[in-house]
Amino acid sequence: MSKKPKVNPLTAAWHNLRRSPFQSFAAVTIMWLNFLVATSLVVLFFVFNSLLGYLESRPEVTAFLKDQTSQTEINRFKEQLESLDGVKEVRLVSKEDALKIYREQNKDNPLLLEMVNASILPASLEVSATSSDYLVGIADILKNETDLIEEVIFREDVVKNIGFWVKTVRNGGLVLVGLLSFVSLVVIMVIIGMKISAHREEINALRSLGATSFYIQKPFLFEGIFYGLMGAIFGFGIVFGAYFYWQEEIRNFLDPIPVLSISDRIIPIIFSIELVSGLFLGLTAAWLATRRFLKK
Amino acid sequence: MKVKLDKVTKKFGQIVALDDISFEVNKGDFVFITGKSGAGKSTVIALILAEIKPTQGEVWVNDLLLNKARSGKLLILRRQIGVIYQDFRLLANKTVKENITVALEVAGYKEGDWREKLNQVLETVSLGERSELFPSQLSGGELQRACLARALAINPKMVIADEPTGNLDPETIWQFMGLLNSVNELGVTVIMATHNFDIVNSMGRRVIRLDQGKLISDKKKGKYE
Repeated sequence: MSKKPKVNPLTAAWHNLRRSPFQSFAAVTIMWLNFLVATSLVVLFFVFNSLLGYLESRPEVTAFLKDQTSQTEINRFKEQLESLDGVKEVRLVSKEDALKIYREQNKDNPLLLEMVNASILPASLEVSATSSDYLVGIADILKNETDLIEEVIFREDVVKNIGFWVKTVRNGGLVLVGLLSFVSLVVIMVIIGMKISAHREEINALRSLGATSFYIQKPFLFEGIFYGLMGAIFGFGIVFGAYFYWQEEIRNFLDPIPVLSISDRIIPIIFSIELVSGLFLGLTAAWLATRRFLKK
Repeated sequence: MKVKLDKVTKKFGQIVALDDISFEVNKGDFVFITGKSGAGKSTVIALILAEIKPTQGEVWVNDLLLNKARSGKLLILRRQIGVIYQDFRLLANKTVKENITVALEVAGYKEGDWREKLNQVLETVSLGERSELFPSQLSGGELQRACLARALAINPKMVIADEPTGNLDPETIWQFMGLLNSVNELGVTVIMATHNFDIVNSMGRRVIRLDQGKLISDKKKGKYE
């Protein structure tokens, strides 16, 4: 007896894919784009969240001192600040210290180091608070010392901005991913619908044999699942491939801020969620397309 | 399996395909439905297979009223009927063997039973050597034999053939009719629509004659008139 006859729905689905490769490619591409955007937004969300967490854990106000401020005045003011409620630490960054920091940050860019010396960089007081609740009060005290203080940089603005971007990325991202998912669903419905039309005679033959709707639908459902899974795998693979490839470089550049620190336990969870989403999206599109045809 | 059409009329728009026809086919009968092209033969077959519903009247297969039957019951019915279509309706992207296997799978046969069934029917229709070919690679006669193999593989309670001899040479026609006879002798009801008067006149079977949708005659041992 020769080889076993192929009636497997998976084989039929594979056959469908091969028969119209450009349509299959279009379907996988739209899904892949969808998941590329979704995964990128997920990573961005984690990045902003990490940054926010970092900033919130280090509530800080920086006060730049006027050039003519004497060391005695600085010391006196520093002691005054250290005695306030909510102040954790007060660090004096002298002009020389500022120059060292500047040179370290820009060591790879010699153009930025030319013409810069300690005299043009201001000294500053970096005030750390025990909680971000105290930052407003500390910032007000610093702003009132107009004789000594040139400028006050208050991280709450930065924290508020980052918080705003986290919400924007999350909410805007959900809307964008929702829209892209809808577009993917429609495109795959159309593509599978076209394939069903091309198989109309075959489907009618199966119906005349007494095949159930599910029997007829099966190969197309598998095809939809394939598009969804491939899209999820490619989208995730590209984004996290880039993430892992550039992770060390970006970490070193932004050290000590831990922006690219998505936990190793979270990444498989993200992948699993995307796989399930892809499967669901592809399956739903295929089911809707076949249902439309079988109802006629 | 028995069939009953009771005062059945079928209209397609303004066209009356069948006009108030009634007849019964009992279990084990062999019936020819004859008439010129457009007489309504294929419409009768489509009604029995529940592919269409009558405009008026009732169509019964055994105790199932097809007009009102649920789709699930209709599918079960179709799995008990072996059909040989005029246009073959073989699956173009599957080999002869795979076409038969699909019918077996749909009819609920387990994979373990397929091999025996396949060998049996392929031998019956003499298509063993051509079983790995696709429909596009077969002649008209081979296609018809493949259809017959698919119809017989499921152990049908009824075989319906719609103009099955159109593509066959005379020798093959009689081989085909011999097979149908053998199947009928096992108690399977056979209904065959044809306008081949040689077959009808030679077989001496019941003949239901249609003309322009009307039932003209129903004779136990009829002739093609």
